[in-house]
Order: sequence, then structure tokens, then C-alpha cells
Amino acid sequence: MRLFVVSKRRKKFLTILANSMEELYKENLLDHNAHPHNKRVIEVPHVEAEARNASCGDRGVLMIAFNEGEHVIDAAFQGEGCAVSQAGLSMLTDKIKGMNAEELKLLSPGDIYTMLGVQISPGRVNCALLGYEALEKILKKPLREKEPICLH
Amino acid sequence: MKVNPESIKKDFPIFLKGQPFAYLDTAATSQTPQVVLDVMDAYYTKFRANIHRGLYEVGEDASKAYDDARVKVARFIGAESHEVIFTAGATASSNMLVSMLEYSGIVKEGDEVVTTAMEHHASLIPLQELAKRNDLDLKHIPLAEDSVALDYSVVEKFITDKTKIVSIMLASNVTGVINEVARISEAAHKVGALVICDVTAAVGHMSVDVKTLGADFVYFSGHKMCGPTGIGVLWGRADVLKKLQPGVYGGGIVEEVTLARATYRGIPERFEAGTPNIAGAIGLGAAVGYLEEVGVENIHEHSKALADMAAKLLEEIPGVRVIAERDSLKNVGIVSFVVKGIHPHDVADILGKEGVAIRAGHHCAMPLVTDALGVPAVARASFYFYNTPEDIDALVRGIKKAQEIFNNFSK
Repeated sequence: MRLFVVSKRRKKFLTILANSMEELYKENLLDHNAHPHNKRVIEVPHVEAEARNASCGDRGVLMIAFNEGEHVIDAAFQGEGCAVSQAGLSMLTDKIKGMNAEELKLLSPGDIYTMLGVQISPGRVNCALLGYEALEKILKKPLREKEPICLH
Repeated sequence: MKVNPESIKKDFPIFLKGQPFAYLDTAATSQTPQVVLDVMDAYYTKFRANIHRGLYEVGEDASKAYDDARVKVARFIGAESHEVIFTAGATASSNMLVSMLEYSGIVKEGDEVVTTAMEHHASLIPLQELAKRNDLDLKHIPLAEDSVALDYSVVEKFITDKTKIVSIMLASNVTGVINEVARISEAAHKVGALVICDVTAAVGHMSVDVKTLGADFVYFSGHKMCGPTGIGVLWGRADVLKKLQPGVYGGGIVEEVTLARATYRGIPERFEAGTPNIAGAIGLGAAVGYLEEVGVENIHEHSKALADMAAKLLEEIPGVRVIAERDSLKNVGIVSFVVKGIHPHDVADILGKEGVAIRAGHHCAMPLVTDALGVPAVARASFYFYNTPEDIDALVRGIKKAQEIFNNFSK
């Protein structure tokens, strides 16, 4: 996370945030949404999968490059959608770098909620788990196969 | 007579909870007035029985209540009661109607079906599947350029001698635009096509008269017009209905059955297989009575004035783009919008926590939202006779708050 100098304007904003019921929109999540990490295309051989949340139009393509030992050497995403889904993808790509396939398989929805650091209401579960859903699809594929990049 | 939303609210138990609740999601489902709950409760507690079967007092009471509901609903849309078929809702109506037409041999390979670019999935997808099964050509009348209304200048090009079915919604559940259905019906009838009109977003919100629409079939759900969920209507012109096969088969629709075949009753019975949603139909009848008391024209006056006010106030907020029919005379009472830099889902979530209920997404009209309007999703505020200008103030405040929360990070 980036460090901020607390300006007057920002103080006012933080007060609004604290006073509001916006448990969902914590700074870290908003920051990932506005300045996503790893939002790019991986050029080297990798595996990718798309997940969609039909009810609100969220979309994410998760890309993971594995080395021969099935360790994640790079992770990136493309997508569009609400803050929860896009920040979730951003955080997920950070989180999984260096993990191996076995560790990825052990990730649970609970881990994703913890990673997001906010309360996820039932109506936002699909948003929160968009990246996780793409990850699950990836883990069902051969991890060392290059697939064509499909953004649709 | 003007609608007084404060006194209307008193008829709806959900608004009596004390805390402010700006319910701007009637286009998804309306709230339920006490009178509707009362008649349904009476059915379950005082005269529950199956209809048209029990030769005992409560059985007769149930049958009478169900039949009375049909008469009330028919009158409400300017129809004859034997033309009104109770269904589970607009989606069930639409699917059953497509089956009825298909089983009756109305379409054959190479025929054309014309619909519009703004239809709800409930209308669009059954037609897509019908076209797929029968090798039909499904065509869509587009929106006019820079407009949310249909391009009427191309209607004659779309509706041709090959056209067998024309399907058009009366009002859009996304932009609120009211379509000129009578004009389309006329063009369709000139070439001998049947006209289907989905009035789900319109009925109970503006006056709907099947004769004025000129359609052969009209359908809607009960739950967007103060009725309960799980009940809807399919109306068909009697002379057309009489020629059609049932779309769903089972008990209650037959005259005689052998092991090999069955013969069917007249209309509307032959289209209501199985035990219907009796309480739902009775509830819908009460909803219709309630709306008639307030006056549907008065309701539309109120909703479209609020939609107009909301659109104006939203347009004043920097970064907000209104996507709706802006001629208030042609709007059923719906305003959709997008906020720059904030996904509609996030807008709706923040508003929800502020006690403002709106809906975000493609509103089951994905081709309209993503292709024709060119946005991944929209936020939608829909108005009804229990809404007030204060609800709009709360909406505006909530949007500004969402901007405040998000804009700090987009710099």
C-alpha cells in the first residue's frame, strides 16, 4: 500500500469514511481499485481463465505463469467491474506470486475475504470471489500449457 | 386528483417501520399494500381449497374469489375475462406463449420474427430459442441515433411479408421510454403478423388498454404493480387464443382423456394446467382494485414528475450521466444513470447503506445496456406513487457521498 501524507482534505475524507457505515469501502480496497496492481497482459507462456458476474457485469481474466516446479512466477489480470471485484483481482495477483499449485489449491473463499479486509455482504459475494472463481478454473487446467489470450 | 405519497405510504406496512426508506426499485418489484396481504391471508386462513373442484362451501368461495380476480384484471386492461390467463409471471407467460404458437404451427423455416433492441431477457430469449429451433430469422429494430427511443423510420424495412411475429415491450425497464406500440401493431397487422406486447414495466404505472395497443397478446407480472410474486397474466385476443394449442399440459385443461390422447377445454381454461397460484391471483385482483382506487393515470403523473425531477437533479451533479427518456410524457417513471469512475454496483451498495434502494446491473436487458447504450452496467432509480421528493434528495446525497469516497483515490 502507498503511504499518504495526511492532508486537510484527506483528514476530512477519513472522518467521513470513519463516520459512515462504509465498512465495505476501506482505504486499501479503494486504493487497489483506483491503482490496480498487475493489471496487464503476461506475454510469456501462461494459463488464464475468465470469470464473469452476470448480475452486475463484472468481468475478470486472471493470468498466471508457472515455472517447471509449478510455482507462480507471474500473475496479472485484465477486467472491468465494481471496486470489490477489481480490487480483489489486484490483491489476488499480489498474493499468489511465489505460491505453488498445491498452496493455490488450498486457498478458500475465507482467505479471499481476509485478503480483502472488509465485510462482504451476501449481495457482494460474487464480486468478492470473481478472481477466486477464475483461479479455480485455472487450477483445473494443465498449468504449463500456453493458451490464446481471450478477453471476451 | 393528485397522489399524496405520504398517505399512500400508510397503506404499505414496509414503510411503517419508522426509519426512512427511499425505495427506488419498484421496477424490480413493487412493495405490497395491506389490502393485498389481507385477501391472501383470508384465502389461506378462511377459505383455502382448490378451485373448480371442491363441492363444499370453502371450495366454492375459493373458486369465486379466483374467478372474480380474473374479471377484475380483465377490466383493468380493457379485456374480456375469458381472454385472461393466469401464469406465474411475465417470464412464464412469454415462454408459454412461444410454446403455444410453436405447437400450433404458426411459424415455419425461413419466417421472420421482429423484436426490438431494448427487450427484457424474458421476452428476447424465448424468441431466440424459438428461432433456433425452427430456423427463423430474428430481427431487432434498433434505437434511433443518440436516443433511447426506437428508430421508427426503419420499422417498415423490418416488418415485411415474411414476418410472422412482432414482439415489442410497452415501456423499457431501463430507460423508461414508452414505445409507440399501436404504430408497430398497425405495421405488423398490415402484413398479417401477430403482435406480442410485454407490458410488465408499464402496467399499474400507466394506463394499459389492450385494444389501444392493438396487440394480439399482452403479458405482465403482478409483482411490479403491488401484487404478490409468482403471479402474472397472459392476455390473448379471444379469436386468436381459440385457435391455439396449450403451451403447458396437465390436469384441469382437459375435456376427455384416454391413455392415448386428450381433448382440451375452451379458453382460458385450456391454458391453465395444474393448480394455479390461487392466493396470488386473488392478491393480484386486490392490487388492481387498489390501483384503480388511486387511479393509474394519477400514479403515472406522479411517477413521471418524480423521474423528471430526479433526472434534472442528477444531471446537475458533475460526473453523472443520465440514461433515460428525457421527455417526461414518454417516460413511465424510470431514470438510469452512470457515475464517472464508480461502477454502478458500488454506487448501489453505498446508496443501500444510506437507506436508498436502487438497482445496478444490466437489468435483464443486456443487449440494450452493453450494445445499444454502450456501458457495462447502469444504476437505475424507478419511481412509484409511494415515492417522494425527499427520496430523490436522499438519492442525490448518496451519489455525492459515493463520489467523495471514490474520488479521493482516483487522483
